[in-house]
Amino acid sequence: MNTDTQYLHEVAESDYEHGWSTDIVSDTIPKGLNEDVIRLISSKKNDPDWMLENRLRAFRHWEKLAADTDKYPRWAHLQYPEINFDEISYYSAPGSKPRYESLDEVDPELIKTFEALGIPLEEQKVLAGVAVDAVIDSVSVATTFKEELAKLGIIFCSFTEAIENHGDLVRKHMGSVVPHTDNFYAALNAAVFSDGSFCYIPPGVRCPMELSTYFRINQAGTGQFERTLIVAEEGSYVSYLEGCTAPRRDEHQLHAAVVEIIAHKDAEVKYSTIQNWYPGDNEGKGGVFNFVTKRGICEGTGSKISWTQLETGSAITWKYPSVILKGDHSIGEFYSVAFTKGRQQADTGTKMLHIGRNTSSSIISKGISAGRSNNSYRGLVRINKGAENARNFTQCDSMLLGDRCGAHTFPYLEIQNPTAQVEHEATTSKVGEDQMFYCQQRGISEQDAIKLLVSGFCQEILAKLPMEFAVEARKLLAIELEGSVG
Amino acid sequence: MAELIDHRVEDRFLAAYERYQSLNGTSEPLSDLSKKAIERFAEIGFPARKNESWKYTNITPIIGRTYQMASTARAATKGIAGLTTHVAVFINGRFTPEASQLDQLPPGVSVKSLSATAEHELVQTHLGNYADYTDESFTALNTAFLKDGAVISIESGCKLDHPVHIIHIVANDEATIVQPRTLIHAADHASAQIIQSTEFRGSTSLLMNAVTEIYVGNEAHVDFLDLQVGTPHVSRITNLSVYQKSQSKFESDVFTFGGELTRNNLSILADGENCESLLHGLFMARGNSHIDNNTFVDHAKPNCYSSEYYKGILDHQSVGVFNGKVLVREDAQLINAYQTNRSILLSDTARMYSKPALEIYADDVKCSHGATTGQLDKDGLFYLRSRGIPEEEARRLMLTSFAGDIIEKAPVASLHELLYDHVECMLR
Repeated sequence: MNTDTQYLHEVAESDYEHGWSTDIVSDTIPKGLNEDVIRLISSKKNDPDWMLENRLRAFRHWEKLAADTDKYPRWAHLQYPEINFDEISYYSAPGSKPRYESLDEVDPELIKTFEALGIPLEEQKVLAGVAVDAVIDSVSVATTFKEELAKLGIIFCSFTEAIENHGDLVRKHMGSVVPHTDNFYAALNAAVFSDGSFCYIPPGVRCPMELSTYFRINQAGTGQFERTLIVAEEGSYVSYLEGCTAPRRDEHQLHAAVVEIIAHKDAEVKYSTIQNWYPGDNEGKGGVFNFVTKRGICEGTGSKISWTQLETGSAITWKYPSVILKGDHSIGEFYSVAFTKGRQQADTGTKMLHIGRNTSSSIISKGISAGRSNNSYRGLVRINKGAENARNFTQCDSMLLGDRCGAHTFPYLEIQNPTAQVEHEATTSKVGEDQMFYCQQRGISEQDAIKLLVSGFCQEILAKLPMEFAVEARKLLAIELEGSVG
Repeated sequence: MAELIDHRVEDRFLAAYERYQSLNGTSEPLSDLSKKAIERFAEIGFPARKNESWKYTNITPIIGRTYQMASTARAATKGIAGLTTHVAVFINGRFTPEASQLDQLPPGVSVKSLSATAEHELVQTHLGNYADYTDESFTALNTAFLKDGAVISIESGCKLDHPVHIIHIVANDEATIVQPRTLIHAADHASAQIIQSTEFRGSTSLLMNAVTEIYVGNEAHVDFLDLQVGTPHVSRITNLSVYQKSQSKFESDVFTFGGELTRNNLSILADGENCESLLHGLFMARGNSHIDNNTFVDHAKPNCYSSEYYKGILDHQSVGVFNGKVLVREDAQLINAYQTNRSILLSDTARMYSKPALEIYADDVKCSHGATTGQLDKDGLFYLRSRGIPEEEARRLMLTSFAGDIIEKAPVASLHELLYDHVECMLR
């Protein structure tokens, strides 16, 4: 019925056929989580002592949380079997051996999707796990970019490199926005994270490129517990894109990432995410559990953090990119499109915490549910006592594409200052029959009309994505919609 | 008169239950229900702050006190001047026919005491059926101590000419807990307006834990207006549970002015097609008042309409909470559900927590909610002042008209003036 999911499923199966997973097993540490495992991960990563200390502290905290079943976060509108944390292996080195020798061996369905998404041939190879020709290896492109960035003083590297080369910077900022005590999964991540990215923009520097073009290629295999840290010094600007439109199957079921952003005075950080992890089969089996803690702090006056996300994958999504508006006149933004189908469940939204004066935040969230999926928006807007003249505007719209799916909205508005102006509005409806009729009457097929209307519904958000990704995102949505309607 | 003196808060109530039962004996038909409820209460206890629906309301201070169970007392009331009603008086939760004026009730309408009608089929079928004691601690507590209450029955096709006014009089000289219970049954095609208000005669702290169940039959129409004027030592927990059959109409108007802690739980189950449910609320708080409105509209059948409109004005250190939820179940298509909450904060220390939630499992629906919180509109104030109206008066004018939106919706027009008086009183 659902060709898209079906082929994803096939891709999933085919990985095993080629025996890839056995390759991985040799690099994987035994299942279970205890202090020895933390020390083992730490030694594999060549951590300095302070990092090991951090990990152990986080682990001890997590142990406490895990021991008390009441401490496990159950408030989300999600239903999934209890996760057995002893049945998970917490570290596996990225597979270095290519899966295929050439694109001809790759499932033609997968190639078709890549083409539909407009992904260049070379990138296709990397994504599908084909050995890349050394001459046109993306790494060489990456090196050119790196040199250019280095000239401006921008540091952009993997977390492991950052710990090695910029230990002080990492030590100063890591855990300052999302401490290990923040929540269950933040504690878990702080204990076992294996890699991620680090980005530092020096004062007054405007990053000349989207930090995505090469990141997309290099991020493959960064491991299941990623950690990202972005520090934007005074007056700097950076646009950062994480994720990939291409469907990715992963051998890990549980993902618990942490992203921290620090924006100093007048700095601006734009963080865009496209998430398309394996959502599981139509019964919801085998999909990725995505528990992510993302938070930014507008530390200085006039700083701005903007989150844009397109969520189409994962069996379970638990994700609330937040902004702490500490600096006066700071701005927080959250733009989101979440699409769920099959048995997918998403509980996603944001938190805007207004602390400084004259801060403003806007939230625009669009949820589309199809099949038997459940899609929830959960967002908190808190205006603290001292946050004079805070302003918030929230709009969450949900669209339902079937009579067996659910769309939910759980906003929390906590206002403690009378000068605040807070507005929230939400609507839930199905695709407009009049609009459908109009399109069909002009000779547009039902499928295409729905694609058109959904694309229009999300237009506002997709326009916020960096241009090239906006194009891909639109195509991705169209592909996701195929077969999920009608 | 059972004293509550034990250590753990829940234990005190459990012990009080034992003593209460042995002192008052058990009236057979209600004891089963009461026993089930106390057992359930022992299991669930009082809600903690971790409980999502009690996130913003801390009840520890009010349940931590030592209360007397309300005893019988004598009192009289004049009711509301200028209002023609059938008056049913309850003193400390007990129906008191002597103080009531019910002789003009039209045929087919009866107001009786629960203890006298406990064996009637109507009570047996409906009592405890809509107010869920398995999940809601205070309903469980009320059900456990169930001895008396009011049963209002409107027979099929009957129409009430004037509203029935339920007046609860609480007379106490010691800290008291009073737990009134009301069952309203409007049979098919019946129509009724019910007003409920409370008069406090004491000056010591009081915890009122009221449960009201309303059954609205096919094509029946019930308006329920609850007027609560509190004083700083009065805390009220009210649970209003409504069950609607098809093509019925129900309207709730909740006016809360002050009080120490107020929690209004309102849940409506629209279990028939073409139901209409209107929920209106106005809450005004000052001093250290805490007012929490918690509503739940459950659309179980298709083709229904619900509209919710709550407004709040908060001054001093008061706290307002609006916790609204609309659930549209699977296959309940063609539902139109709207939810609005607007609040004004008048002081630097007042707080407002708003949580309008939608949970929707059907696709052909139109649901929306909106919430705003802010100050008085500066442009409006400026306009009035530019016309020579002093600032104080301009503010009062604007706030009165803000509240007026809800007052004008109240179905009993003769009550509007009284409601405006209360608003003015709160703004003074």
